Amino acid sequence: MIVNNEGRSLLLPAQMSNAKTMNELNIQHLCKEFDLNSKQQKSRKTDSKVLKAVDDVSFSPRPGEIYGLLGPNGAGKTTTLRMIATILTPTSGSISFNGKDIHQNVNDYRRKIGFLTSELKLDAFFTPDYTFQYMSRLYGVDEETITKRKALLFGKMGIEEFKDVKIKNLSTGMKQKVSLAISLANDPDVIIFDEPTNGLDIIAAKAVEDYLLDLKSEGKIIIISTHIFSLVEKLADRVGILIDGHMQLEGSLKEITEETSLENVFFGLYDRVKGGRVE
Amino acid sequence: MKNFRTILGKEFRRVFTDYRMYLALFLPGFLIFFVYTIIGNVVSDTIVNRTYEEVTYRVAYSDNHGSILPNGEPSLLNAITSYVNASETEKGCKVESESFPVSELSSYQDKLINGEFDIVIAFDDNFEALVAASSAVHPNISIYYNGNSDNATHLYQVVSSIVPTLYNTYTVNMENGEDIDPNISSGDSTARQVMSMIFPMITITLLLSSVMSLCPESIAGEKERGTLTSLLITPTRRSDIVLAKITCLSVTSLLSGLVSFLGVALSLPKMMNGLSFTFPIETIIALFFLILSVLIFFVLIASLVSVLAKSVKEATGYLGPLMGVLIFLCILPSIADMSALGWAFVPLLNIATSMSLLFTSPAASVVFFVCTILSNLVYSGLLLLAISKLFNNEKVVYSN
Repeated sequence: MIVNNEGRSLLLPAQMSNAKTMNELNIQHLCKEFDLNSKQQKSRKTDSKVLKAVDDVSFSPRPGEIYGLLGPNGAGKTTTLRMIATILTPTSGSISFNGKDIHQNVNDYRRKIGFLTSELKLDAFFTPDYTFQYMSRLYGVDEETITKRKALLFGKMGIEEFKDVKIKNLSTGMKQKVSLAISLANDPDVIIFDEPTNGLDIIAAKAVEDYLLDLKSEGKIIIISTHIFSLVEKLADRVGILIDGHMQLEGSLKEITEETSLENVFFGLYDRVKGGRVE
Repeated sequence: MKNFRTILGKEFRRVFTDYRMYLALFLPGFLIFFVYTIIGNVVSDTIVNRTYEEVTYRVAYSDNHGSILPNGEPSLLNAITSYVNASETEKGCKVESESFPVSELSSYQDKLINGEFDIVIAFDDNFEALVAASSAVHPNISIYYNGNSDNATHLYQVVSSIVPTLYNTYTVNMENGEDIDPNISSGDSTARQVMSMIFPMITITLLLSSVMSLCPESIAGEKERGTLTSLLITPTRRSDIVLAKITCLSVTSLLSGLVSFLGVALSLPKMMNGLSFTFPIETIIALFFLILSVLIFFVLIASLVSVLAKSVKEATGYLGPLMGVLIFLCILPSIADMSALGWAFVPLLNIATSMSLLFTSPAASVVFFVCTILSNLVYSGLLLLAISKLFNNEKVVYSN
């Protein structure tokens, strides 16, 4: 079933029976434009002074499900997630959480989200232990909860053994684990992960996948963006395919992959949009 | 405020647990001390402690001085001869003198230029008697020397140092193209003059250097590494982030500046060959406020540049030429008169002028000082507002 930019999916949400909370996140007609300078115009071979990175994107990830945002590089996945994470402000459209525009009380909303992207870096000079404590305090988490959450997350991610090593001395995979743990320090209701298994070895990646499923069962709203089909097929309940800033397809994974694989669906769409061109 | 404290704690931890930061903060001060001390020793050995052996100094003096000495010579000549005879650096030196009618001063000035004399002294009529009587009339003494001659220059320095001691300069004006302020009667005056020229430039340059070594790293560095974004997605007010960073930068830069200042203060007497200077506590307090004021101003300027820059390299690139402009502004008060009140509202120039005035004429500098501090507070407030606004601008903060 295909739904294009018309708000909620026509498909039934998955896993709702497991949801413990009933938070609601609504993304409606989201657009983001970036100004291009002459150098950028030249490199993009365009006369337009504006780049529309996201164009009229709507979707509503629900509690107790994982929403997979799939798309090639430059499709607008990261920009969309950044807007949901309040890093960027939409040019138009709205994002509401529990019926309220997130920009009305942005800090209140930020307390409830966990955001992870490869561009978010940890200060290399500090240890995972200190960084977790520091970030938790910024989220207003009390000391007792910080200790408990740290023990839980460091245990699950296998960080305990290197929690006192400076981040600059950790491998990429270890850093990614620490970033993941820190993004969940505030026990967020909305989890926004951009390429969550990037840089992880297969064992760590499996641990992250399992933990995402745990969080899903706790009723969290989870949005992941990736270009790995197998990850979406393994984790997502619903899928949105973004190409050139447009939501080309949105629906439940089950329905989308009823007749063919996700990969075939994606490339079919891609060919249709790009006219057979591979960029 | 809780997040302000948390970020401030992290910023301090970042600075004070990194040995490279210690080097950046405190090394300049130690280097200044060692370099200035070495320069002082070299200068002292080559110039100040230079010996003048078997030199015959030729002195001409006007005969209208109204001698109070039995031999009819001016007491100054006696003092010069005594000094030359007693000094270990003037072994075998002699003083030859000749008196002349004051009406022939110009012809003796010509002789001075021709090298017939090293120094020509012209007294006001009845000079010695007026000094001895502690008269309300301040008699004048004019001393001329030929700057092209080492011996003449040296003798002039000797005479210049003798005059205030000999005549009690509260009653004497001395001329040689420059006036000695009758209110300042010792070597202190020279130290003050030198300090008024050197202090603003050295202090401001040192403070700016320490700010430059910290600011780009703290703001542009965080932008470049992506750690600032991690901070910006937390529920923290942008103003708390800005204030915490600026507070940490100000405190650490102040510490670094103080170490550098200490380096200057301890090495300067060596550089000036033992010239000492004393300042009243009010001057020191005023200097502290000026340093604090200029420091905050620098931190804010450097922060503004760092927020706008995409990387540490870019920020440093912008701050480099800016430093040149700032140093020029610091030199300006020592080459031109900037004491008009209007200059108190020109940022940085007001600080340099205020510092200079504190050394040369402390009493006259009060209004200028107050205007400087107030105007800098206003400028700093405006800069703080601008930085907070920029932190909310995604084009600036996420420019990478």
